Amino acid sequence: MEKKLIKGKSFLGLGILFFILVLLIIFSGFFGTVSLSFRGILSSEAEKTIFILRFKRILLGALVGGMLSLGGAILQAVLRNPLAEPYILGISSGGGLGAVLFIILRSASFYYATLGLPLSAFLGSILSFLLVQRLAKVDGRLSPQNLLLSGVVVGIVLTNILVFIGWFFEERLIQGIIWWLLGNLDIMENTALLIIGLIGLAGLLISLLFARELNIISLGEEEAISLGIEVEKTKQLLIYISSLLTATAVAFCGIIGFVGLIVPHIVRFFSGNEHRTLLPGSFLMGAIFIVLSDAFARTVLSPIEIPIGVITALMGGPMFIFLLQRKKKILFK
Amino acid sequence: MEEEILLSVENLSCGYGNKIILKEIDFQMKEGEFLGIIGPNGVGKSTLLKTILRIIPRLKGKIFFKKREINQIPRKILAQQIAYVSQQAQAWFSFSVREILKMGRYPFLKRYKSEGKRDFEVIEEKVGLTGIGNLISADLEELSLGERQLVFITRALIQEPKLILLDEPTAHLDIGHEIKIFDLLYRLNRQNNISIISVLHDLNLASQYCDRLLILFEGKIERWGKPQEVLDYKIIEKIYNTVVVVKENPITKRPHIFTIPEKFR
Repeated sequence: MEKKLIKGKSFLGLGILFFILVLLIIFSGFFGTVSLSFRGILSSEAEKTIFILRFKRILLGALVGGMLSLGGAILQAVLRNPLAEPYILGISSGGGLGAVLFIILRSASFYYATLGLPLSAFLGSILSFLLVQRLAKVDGRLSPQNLLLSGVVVGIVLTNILVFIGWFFEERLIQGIIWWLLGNLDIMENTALLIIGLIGLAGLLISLLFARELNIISLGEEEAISLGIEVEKTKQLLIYISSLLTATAVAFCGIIGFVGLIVPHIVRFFSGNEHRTLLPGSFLMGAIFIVLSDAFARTVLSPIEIPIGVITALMGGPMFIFLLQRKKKILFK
Repeated sequence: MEEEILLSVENLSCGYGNKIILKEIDFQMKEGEFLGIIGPNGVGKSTLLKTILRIIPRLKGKIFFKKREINQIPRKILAQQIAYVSQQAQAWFSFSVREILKMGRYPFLKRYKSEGKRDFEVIEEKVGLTGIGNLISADLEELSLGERQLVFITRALIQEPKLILLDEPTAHLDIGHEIKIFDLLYRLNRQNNISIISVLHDLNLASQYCDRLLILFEGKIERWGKPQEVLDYKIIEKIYNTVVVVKENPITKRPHIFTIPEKFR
């Protein structure tokens, strides 16, 4: 018997991704509406300040990209559906509604704190996720179809409430709402960055502990039970993790589309569905994807910044179609 | 010699929610037996298997495995004793054969541990047993249905079970593959002392390979015994509502069922 059987997955690919990410995080900081030079950062206080601000923004982008992609990879496996995206369980629409309600209340000069917007978006996401979960549960079982269906339905209802509110409160809010809905990386508080980082890393570590279960469940729930997995409990936990990751990302950065859907598929394309590599691979690839997209967003129409959600959708759409073509024979067999 | 009772099912009712599909199911299986479950479509053959595996909660009755009530056995421990080969549905996500086989060690592994030397020894041994060494690096998607079924049978063996439950393992295969798989199962049963329960749709296959047959009809056990005792034309005509002739297979001496089309009646 060949020795290859014995060897685990090579972690070389992950190492390469990590290396690329680190390089990108460092170097993309020089590009933006104002170009910076290495010498300038050392000599000029102003350039240094810009670089640090930009560095935080890039770090935020990397974390959020990683979290959305990890959330997507988990959800696709648990729901056994390659088209599942992390927003689908009511998280984006609930978060949007939470954010919009906050924007309205704030403009009516109610209450303002820096963490107010993310907090109310987060609450909105979690509440609507719990509603979706509740609606999907039949006899204590969460079937993937029911989850997807109730996610879509709750999403449509909440989105239309959001549209109605936007229409009702007119122009003074539209700008803010659209800015939020298209995704942004404008949070600079160190505490926010720390919170996001901790949640992201915790999500990655915990989900990695369940990589084996994800492999087995993604092939079929009944077989997973027969192999000794407590499928309902495991699914529940993993859906919570995915939703927490996604809700955190939405809370701070709005809705950055396509990342969570497409990135896991890019990683699968190279390294298959083994989740021990797919999960960290998605995290790293998602981070790379957003750092790159953000660099584009800052520079393409400089000095105007394009909302990052627009870039990810424009890049993600064609990529997804490409992968779909390659996978068509399996998807539509 | 007194043979051990491996599995004992007592007054079992199974179904979904308040819909009862099977009731008053009573049978015992000895260690080393090869059992077949047959019956018309929708009678509940798969439901019975899934209830024994605790995939579906039972509605009533008891199931003992080696004298222990299976509800008292933790799932991972149960998975070290009983393995399952389902009718493979199309999965959206594919894996390499190597990855699939490793899944068979899941019941033995602690959460934070990777597969160790012993796990790979078991995998190699079972791969040798089913002869799929050449498929090990392939992707599941690239395999034929017959090869896939061999992979999943190998995964079941890697669980080192006492008992394997199979749900129509040759449902979509041609007769060549069908015989190959059942010959393999029979070898495993006789040489490696693995007890087997298989749901079958092909009565002749059931007759050739199984020691005893459980015939399900209208929510109950219709007959239970050796193929020679239970496969007579009256029973088959009754449960399948068609005309048949039953003759002895000249080589195997087991009953063979001939269907008779309407134009010859």
